[in-house]
Amino acid sequence: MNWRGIFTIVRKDISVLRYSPAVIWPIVIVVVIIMGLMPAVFTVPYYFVEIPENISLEEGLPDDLPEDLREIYDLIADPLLAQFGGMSPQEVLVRYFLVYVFAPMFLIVPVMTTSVIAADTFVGERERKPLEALLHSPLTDEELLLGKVLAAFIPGVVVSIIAFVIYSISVNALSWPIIGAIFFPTPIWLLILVWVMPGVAALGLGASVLVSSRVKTFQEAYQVSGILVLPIMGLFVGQIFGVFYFSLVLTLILGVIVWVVDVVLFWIALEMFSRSEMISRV
Amino acid sequence: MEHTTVIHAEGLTRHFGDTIAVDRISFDVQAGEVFGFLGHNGAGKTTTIRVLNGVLDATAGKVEVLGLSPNAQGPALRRRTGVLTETPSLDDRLTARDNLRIYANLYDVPQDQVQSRVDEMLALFELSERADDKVGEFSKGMRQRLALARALIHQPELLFLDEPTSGLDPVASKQVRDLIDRLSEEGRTIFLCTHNLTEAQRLCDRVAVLEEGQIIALGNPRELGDQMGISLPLEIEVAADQINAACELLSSIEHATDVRARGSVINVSGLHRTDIPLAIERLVSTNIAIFQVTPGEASLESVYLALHRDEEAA
Ligand SMILES: Nc1ncnc2c1ncn2[C@@H]1O[C@H](COP(=O)(O)OP(=O)(O)O)[C@@H](O)[C@H]1O
Ligand SMILES: [Mg+2]
Repeated sequence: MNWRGIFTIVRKDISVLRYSPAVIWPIVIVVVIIMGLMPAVFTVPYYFVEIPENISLEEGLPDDLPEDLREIYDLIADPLLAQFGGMSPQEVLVRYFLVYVFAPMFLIVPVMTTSVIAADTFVGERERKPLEALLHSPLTDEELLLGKVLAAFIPGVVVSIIAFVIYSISVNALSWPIIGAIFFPTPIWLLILVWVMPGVAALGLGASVLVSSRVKTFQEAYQVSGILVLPIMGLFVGQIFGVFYFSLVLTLILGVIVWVVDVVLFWIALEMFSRSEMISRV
Repeated sequence: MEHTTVIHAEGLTRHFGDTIAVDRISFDVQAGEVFGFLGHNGAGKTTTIRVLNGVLDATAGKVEVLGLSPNAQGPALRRRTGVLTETPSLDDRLTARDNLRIYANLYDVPQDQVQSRVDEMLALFELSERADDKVGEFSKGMRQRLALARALIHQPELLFLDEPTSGLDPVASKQVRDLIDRLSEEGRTIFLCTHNLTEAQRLCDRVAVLEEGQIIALGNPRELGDQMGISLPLEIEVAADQINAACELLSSIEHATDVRARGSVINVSGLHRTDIPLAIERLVSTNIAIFQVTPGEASLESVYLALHRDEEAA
């Protein structure tokens, strides 16, 4: 392996990212909205809501629970509701939304970061032309692919970690008036961070690499990230309707599924990726 | 090094779906030679370079470059070749220096020589002053020089140049041609694609004329032109009061198709290069004062015309 060549590509691709507003802005907007703003939407209103103090969930939902609150409680999966026993309704809502319902939202960050960057470095670079000279360089097809993949994967993971930190800070700060303790990140979120997130980053990347040989423009490649957000939204909606929730076991399994799909995607990508194919489309 | 074959192509063919981009071409290029590949847009020049450098697979045929198989030993081959692509293929968002540094690293220039090699190239191509400016701000000529510098950063033995002067103004073109001359003097083998006949004649030791993917003529460009009887426009300035006599005389020369006078200048077309001495001799022997004779550039069309005329005759 020609590591010098590989890291030359990685360094170059990452260093030019800052000149690509089409890449930077979607990422910044998603991180700010999902990781900074959304937590506020699900905490600040509760500061002002009158809710009976003495609800005990141990024996099911009490009869005097206000109607809107009952509707939300009804949605929460039973085993999860049991874990919330003894907490005030505000705390239950904050934990339910910010710890569980929002977990899939966090996964949008790695998917979208790596797929937008890959769309730019694989397809955008071909559109802008500098790819051709690169294809004439001595790197092998595998080295070229690895360089380009790392150049999207590394920023994807770094941006996700930053988003995670922002989210941790905003969740703890915004729920302080309600919970009064630093409770985030929870073990499940840490598992999501170290196990699921890198897998999901690779997923966005693998999918972009595969479509990169089929599409002509950056915009087309970019739309792949839109498609990948659908299964993530599925996880989101599934929790809202109480079908499942992010338990430790589910998170572990989810990670396994993601990594298996990754292996398949990259195996296909490695088979398909050839400079001969790439240059035919320059 | 004498008569070492650097490129050997035999029946080289490349299809794109139903399009036959390169059609069973065979040729050899010797070490130190400037070999021209002359053809219109779409003739198959770029495709040939890509196949020779192991970037594009051939559909059929046998190819050996620097003793290596481009298909099977591409990386090893590409370490020893440099390519000036048809569009400069530079990263506009980076500085000239960074563009060169990246390629010095990709081509494995020894780490401690990268800096000096980059500076040397910038100086050689007169880009030192703009070294730290973004390439996006460069003129076409500067980009072309930078792309050439990049192709040479690892001192390749074999250089592929794909239409190095196309789209450049005459001054920039001349600069690039002088550079190619210099590279050739250094002993590098150069594979030069062009659609400019004059450029091929001026720079190349041998040229292959390509049409629709096939080589239709191959040889020394001057001899080829003379053999084929390629016509080139000629401009002659004579004394104003002798203009009519001169026109009459020139019209009577074989091959002359169109003789026009404007002021004291006569434009003759249709003449072959080999007809020029005869034309001048006739004018001189009738005591017509000649002030200036300027041969124009033969066009690629005239090459094709001449070749097809031969075909029809045969
Ligand atoms: N990647 C490609 N896909 C389909 N057709 C191609 C491709 N590259 C070249 N061609 C076709 O092959 C022929 C030769 O092209 P090219 O080698 O670029 O010619 P030149 O460089 O002499 O202008 C043209 O008809 C062109 O349209
Ligand atoms: Mg071409």
